[in-house]
Order: sequence, then structure tokens, then C-alpha cells
Amino acid sequence: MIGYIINRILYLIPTLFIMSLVVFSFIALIPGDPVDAILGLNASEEARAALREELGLDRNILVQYLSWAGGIVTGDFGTSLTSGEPVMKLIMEKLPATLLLAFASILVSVFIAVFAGTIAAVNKGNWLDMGILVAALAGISVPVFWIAILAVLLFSVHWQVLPSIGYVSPLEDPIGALRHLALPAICMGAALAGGIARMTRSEMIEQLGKDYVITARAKGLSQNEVTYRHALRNSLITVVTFTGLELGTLLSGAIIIETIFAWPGLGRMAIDAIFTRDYPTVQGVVLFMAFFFVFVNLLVDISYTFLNPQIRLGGKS
Amino acid sequence: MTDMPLLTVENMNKVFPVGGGFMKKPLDLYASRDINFTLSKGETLGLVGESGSGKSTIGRCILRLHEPTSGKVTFEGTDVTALSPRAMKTMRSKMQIIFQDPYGSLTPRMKIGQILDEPLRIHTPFGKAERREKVLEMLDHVGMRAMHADRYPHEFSGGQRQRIAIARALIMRPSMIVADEAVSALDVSIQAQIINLMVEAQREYDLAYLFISHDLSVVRYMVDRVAVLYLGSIVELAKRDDLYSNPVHPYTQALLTAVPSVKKSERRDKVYLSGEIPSPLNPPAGCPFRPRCERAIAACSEEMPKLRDIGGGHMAACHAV
Amino acid sequence: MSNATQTALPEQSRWGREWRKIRGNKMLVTGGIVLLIFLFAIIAGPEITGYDYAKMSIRERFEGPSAAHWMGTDNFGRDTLARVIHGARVAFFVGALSVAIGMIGGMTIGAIAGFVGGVVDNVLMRITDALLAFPPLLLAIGLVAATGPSITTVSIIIGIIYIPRFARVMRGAVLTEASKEYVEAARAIGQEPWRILVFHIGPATLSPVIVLATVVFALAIIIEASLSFLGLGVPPPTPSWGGMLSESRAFMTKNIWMAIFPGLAISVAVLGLNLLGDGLRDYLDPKDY
Repeated sequence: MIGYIINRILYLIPTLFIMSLVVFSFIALIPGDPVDAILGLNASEEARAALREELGLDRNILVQYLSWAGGIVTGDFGTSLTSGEPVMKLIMEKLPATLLLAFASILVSVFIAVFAGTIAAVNKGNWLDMGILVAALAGISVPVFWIAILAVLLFSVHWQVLPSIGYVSPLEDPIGALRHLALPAICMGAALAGGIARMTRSEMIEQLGKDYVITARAKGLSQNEVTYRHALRNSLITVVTFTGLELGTLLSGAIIIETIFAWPGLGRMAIDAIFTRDYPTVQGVVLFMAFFFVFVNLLVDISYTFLNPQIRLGGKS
Repeated sequence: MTDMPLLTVENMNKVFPVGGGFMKKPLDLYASRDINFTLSKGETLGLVGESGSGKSTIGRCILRLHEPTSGKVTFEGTDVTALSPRAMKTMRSKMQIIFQDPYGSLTPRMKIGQILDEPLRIHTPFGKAERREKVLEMLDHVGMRAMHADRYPHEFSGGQRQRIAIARALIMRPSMIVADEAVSALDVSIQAQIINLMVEAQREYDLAYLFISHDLSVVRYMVDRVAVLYLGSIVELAKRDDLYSNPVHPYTQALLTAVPSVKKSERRDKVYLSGEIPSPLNPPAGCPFRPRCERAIAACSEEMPKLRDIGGGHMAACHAV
Repeated sequence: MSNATQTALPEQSRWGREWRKIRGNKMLVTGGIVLLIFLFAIIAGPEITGYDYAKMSIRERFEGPSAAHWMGTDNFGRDTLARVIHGARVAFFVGALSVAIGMIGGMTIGAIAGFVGGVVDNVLMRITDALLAFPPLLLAIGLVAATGPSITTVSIIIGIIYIPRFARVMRGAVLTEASKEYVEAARAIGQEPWRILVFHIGPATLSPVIVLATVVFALAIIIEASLSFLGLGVPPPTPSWGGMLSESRAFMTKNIWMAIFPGLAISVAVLGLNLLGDGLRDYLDPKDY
């Protein structure tokens, strides 16, 4: 078991290395001189020379990469051009907000999706099932920023019950925090729910058809008991995996949601950095988010093997 | 009939490395062990055995679809095992194969006409029209109709697909065809049709067959000589009538008693084999059949018996004979 | 020689059978119809509305849907329907180019990896895995931030981002097919390896690739819209669905229709593509064997 974990971690190293190469290449892709892009064309020679030195552009590209990558390994994700502070410090400041949003969104989406998926599975074939399927399909087709705009239109503009932007720390004001969290989390949750609902439904349908369900019914358990206790528990494993897979959507969605709702998280930090041409920050944040994604996936994989020994022993695919 | 046999297989072995990981060395699985036999022009040799006996492996190694680990295969005077890929390509038109699974051996998205045309394109200089003519001619020969050439494999039944597979094998006018369980996947009534087709083809084209099967009754109808395989080695090799009337190796005897027969005179007392086929990864020392053999003697656990002539061309690998 | 008994299937026209199968597949039909409507709009162009999508008209600002303007007007008085149709052109151009790049790149890499195997496969898959480890929008944002936005750049970037997915699917399909008997049969008749790959294995790999293509097309549209929404996509004044939605935010109190129609367009297009993809998956699957 430990061997498996170590194996997986070792397997990651080339992946992380290649990823760092990709992010490093962002600077290289800038058409023309990055210094021009950042400072504009009217900058003085001294300012340009200073920037060039700070960015390390005066050195050979291999050296540039090695010093940047070396920094990454020690936790130095660069220095922001706009604020002068270490990018890592800024990331750590913004990370909690993003995590809060992510966590709340997952809660919302799993709650909706597992509920809807189970109902659909139990009612397989009839109108309720069809309706839920259509809703789920719509959910994954509708862009999250449109959901957000419509939600803001409804809750903030029309009904005026929820704030449309801003963030309040839950440590200071729990109720206020919840009010500000509500819309972003609901929007993101709605966007994720569609996929999870479909998966829950198909998993449940498969489980409900299995022999152990028929056995349990024969033993005298009611349909509901069978559904919720036995089948659901087994389906949950798949849902956990799928949620892990949706993590990518979550991160991408976070960028958009944070921008719309002025939520001070990593996503908005990245976008702001882009518009201020703060390339070191852009690289640092993108790399951090990507690494974060990779590690959480690893955790999901490992916890999945705990949940389902068949995977560990190479059983079901 | 020439004196030199069409096909000679000498000391052929095929080993598959199995298992093994980062630190572990893989084990050797002998799928075929020290195989020796010959096949003459126009003759049918049956290769009989249970699954895992290595019979399919032999067929594929001869055609170099698998590479033999060691040994020599001589076909029409040429050492096939030593040929370069380009030379082997030319040789392939002379040695063909029919597979067991009619549902898997025809390319699903190719029309029948294309499937049959392909070997002609590779091996013959004929133009498009001429090839088309030959394709239609061959379709007719195997009992199909011209319009079938524009259909896809999934539109046909199992028996029809085997006919197409036979057509594909025959279209290059090979001297030898390996029939690897060619009728095993078919319904019994269809089996008879396909076997008859194969027999007619043999007569018409003077073909040699390597007829691989686990079904002794089917084999009996088709073959001139039979080789019985156990765990990768040949344990008995004889003319058909010799083998069926006078099986010498204990394994062959057991196999034959299991064959049901209508004629009372042919029925034998059943010999029930105890135990199971040992794992090819870890065969018993000496004769691989020893653990299940009633007639085992001391020599059987020490030395692997070699195939030897016990009289009149009847070969057996057994110490107790 | 002996004759085969009867033919396997009745002598119906093959096309007749296929057509019936398509008609019975509701998802395929619905998706297909939706997309045909979009295609018609794209080919006909914004001109069919009678309005120039860029023409401003101060008098007609913030109108809701009416007989004159089916989707109303925006903050500059421009006809929304015309702009939405132009946005469709942008979206489908990006989708098509991205899918083309992804397919060509991905199929080549996947086929080589799957067929050649060994070290080549290992190396290619490691690189693929690394690229797959990025959330697509994140990577797109980073790359577009560097290169600067333009419709072609965005398409190329999205295409490259999706090459790994096509490669994986192609590789999987090639591996599945390569172990099948008909491939061995092709070797037995002496066919060359690369020809086996292209002519025997190739056609069998098309189904999963085509299904993936519809999915990626939809994803490309969403990413393009997201980028434009964030200000990183197709630069104004070219109308794009994402950009239109972004502009609508400032005017939510004045005119909700600016926010509704572009979003609706994106949703319907993506839904149509998803339906088409699901329908294709069902249609293509049970055909063989």
C-alpha cells in the first residue's frame, strides 16, 4: 500500500517537471520583447534595463529556467511586479477565499446531484427521470458565467435579497459571510451538479440491478431501505471519484466566478495580474493552481483505493 | 510428389516471459517445447491438444506471426526463421492461415471485396480489373455470390465469414494453410459444410493443411497424420489410423476414450484422468504427464522423454512404452 | 463447390436501414437539427436580419424584443440578433479550427504511441499526462495572456490544449484494435505495418474520435466564450457571445435582454453539440460485429 503511494508520487515528478516547462514558456510566447509589453513603449532605458534584470531576461534561457524552477522547489514562486511582494505570500493570502468557495460549491453540487441522481435512478424511464436528465444535460451545457449573471439578475437586482459582489470573512461575520457566499457557491454548484447527477444516476441504476439488491429485497428490506443503504453507499465511491475529476472544472469555474463576484481568491488574482501585465505573478499562480490540482487528484486516487480494495488489487477497472 | 517435405520444423521452442516487475525477473513460460515434425505436399497433419497445449503457438510460429525463440522452420527448401522482413513478406503468399474466430478475423470496416483484393495487391502484379475478376471467381469457389463483395463482414453469418476467410487464404494459391481451430466456433451443422469446403480446396489446389483442433472427431475426418500435444510438447505422432486404433501414449489413450462413438466396437472403457494440467510456468520434472499417469516409472520423474519411433513410423514420447 | 445457405440479411437497401436507425435516435436528430439551424444562420450571416451588426443607433438603445428587433438592442442601439449571429460565426470558427488541430495532432500522436508502443509510447504519454493535468481554462488563460488575443490565436491555443485528449482516445482505440485477430490476419497476408495502421485499424478508431470531436467542439466554444467574457478572447468591437455577456453586466438594471440572448445562444449551441455527441455515440456503437 505504501509502495503504491510512493509509486504514484514518483510517477508525478516528470509530470510536474513538464508542467513547469509549459508555464515557464508563457514568457517565451510573448510576441516581441516582454519588457515592452509590461512597460509600454515610452519607458526609459534605465527602467527597462532594471526590469530586464529583475526578470532575469538578460541571462541565457536555460539559466533562467533553472533559477525559476529552483525557486519553485524551495517555495519561491517569484515576486510580483505590481506589489513587490513574494507571489507565494500573496497566494497564501488569497487561497482561503478560494478554498471556502470551492468547499461550499462542492457541498451544494453534491447535495443537489446525489439527491437528483438517486431520484432519477429510482424512477428510471418515467417523466421524473427524463426531466432530471434534461436538467442535468442543460446544467453541463450552460456556461457558468451565464448562470451567474442570471442568478445575480434574479437574486440581487430583481429580488434584492443577496449581495452581488464582495466577500466577508466567516471569522468576522458568519451571517454576512454566508450571504456573500451564497450566490457564488450556488452558481458554481449548479454548474457542477449536472455531471455528478448523471453519474450518480447511472451508477445507482447499475447497482440497483445487481444481485445483492434483489437478495436484500428478498430478505424483507423495503425498497427505500435497499436504495438508500446499500446501493447508495456503493455509488458514493464513484461519485467521490467523479468529484475529484470535476476539480478541474471547479478551478476553471473559480476563476470566472471570482471575477464576476469580486471574490478575493486565486482566480481573481490571476486575472488581475494578467491585466496589469504582472507576468511573474501569472506564472506563479497558474503553476500553483495546476500543482494544487495534481496533488488533490493524487489524494482522491489514494483515498479511492482505501474505499475500494478492488482497485488496489487490480480488480474492477 | 517430391521427396523433400514441404515443411520441416526442427527443435522449435517458444518462450514467453511472464510477470516480472521493477525488481523481479520474469518467469519463462514454455508455450512450445522442442517441436519436431514434417509436413508433405498435399498432406494434412492434425495438431491436437487441450487449451494451453501450445498448438496455436506452433501454427503462428511457423508463419512467424510469433517469433520462435529457437529452432528452425524450413518451408519449400528455405529457412523461414532466418528470413528478413522483406523476404518473409514474399514467403507469406505461400503459407496462409485461417483463424478460429469468424467474428474477429475479418476487418470490420472493409468490404469483402477489399479484404480479398488486398492480398492480390500485395503479391501480384495484376491490374484492378483483373484482380476484381479473381476476387469474384474465388467468392464463387467458396460458395458465395458476386454481390457479397460489396458487403461488410457484420452482414454475414459465422459460416459465411469462414468461407470468406478461406477465400482470403486461397486467393494467393498457397502451398500450405494453417487451420487454427477453423471450425471450432461454428455450429455443428455448419462445421460439416466448411470442412467439406476445405477438403475440396485441398483436392483442387493440392494444399497441405496443418489442422489444429481440440476436437478429435473432427480431426479424424480431415487428417492423414496426427500429432498429440501436451503442455507444449508432442507426446505422440502417427498416421491417423494407427493413432486411433492403437494409441500408445497414456494421454492419447485417455483422450480417445472420451470421444463418443456410435459404433459399439469403437467404444472403449473410459480412462479418467486425475488431477489437472500443471501450470506451464512450473512443469513437473521429467515427463510433464507423470503426475497424472498410471504407468509412471522411475525414469519418468528424472528425464523428459524424447519423441522416438516405436515401430512403423509411429512416434511416441514415453518411457513406459 | 458447395454453396452457402441463405444470405444473412434480407435484401433491403443498406441506406434505408441506416436512415431508419438515425430517425429512431432522438438525441442525434435533435442535436442535428439544432446544429443545422446554427449552420444556416452562420452561412446566411448577420445580414439576414437587415441590420449591420456594428451600426449604432442612439434612438433605439436598450430595446426589448420586438417585431423590428427580434432580440432587442444593446447599449449602443445595435441589433442584438445580428450580433448574436456574428457571435455564432466566431464561436463555430473557433470550435472548428480547435477541433481540427486537436484531431490531427492527437490522432497522429495517439496512433504512433499505440502502435509503436515501448519507449516511444511511454514518453509520449508522459508528456500527454502532464498537459492533461492542467485545467483547460487555466492553461488557456495563461497562454492567451502571453500571446495576446486574436481569434486565430485562441483557436490554435485551444486546439493544442485538446491534443492530449484526442491522443489518449486514439491510443486507446489503437491498442484495443491492435490486439484483435483481423490485425494478425493482415500481417499474415504480408501487409505492411503502417498500412495496417491506416487502413485496417484506422477506420475502427474513428467512432470514439468523432464522438470526442463533438464534445471538444462544445468545450472549445465554452472556453472561447469564457475568455471573451474575461476580456482575454476575441477583442472588441468584434461581437462574440462571451464579450456580449460581459458588456451586459453593466446594464443589468436597464435591459435584461442583453444578458439573456447571448447566454441562451451559447447554451443552445453547446446543448445541441452534447446531444449530437451522445446520439452519435449510440448510433456508432452497436453497428459492428
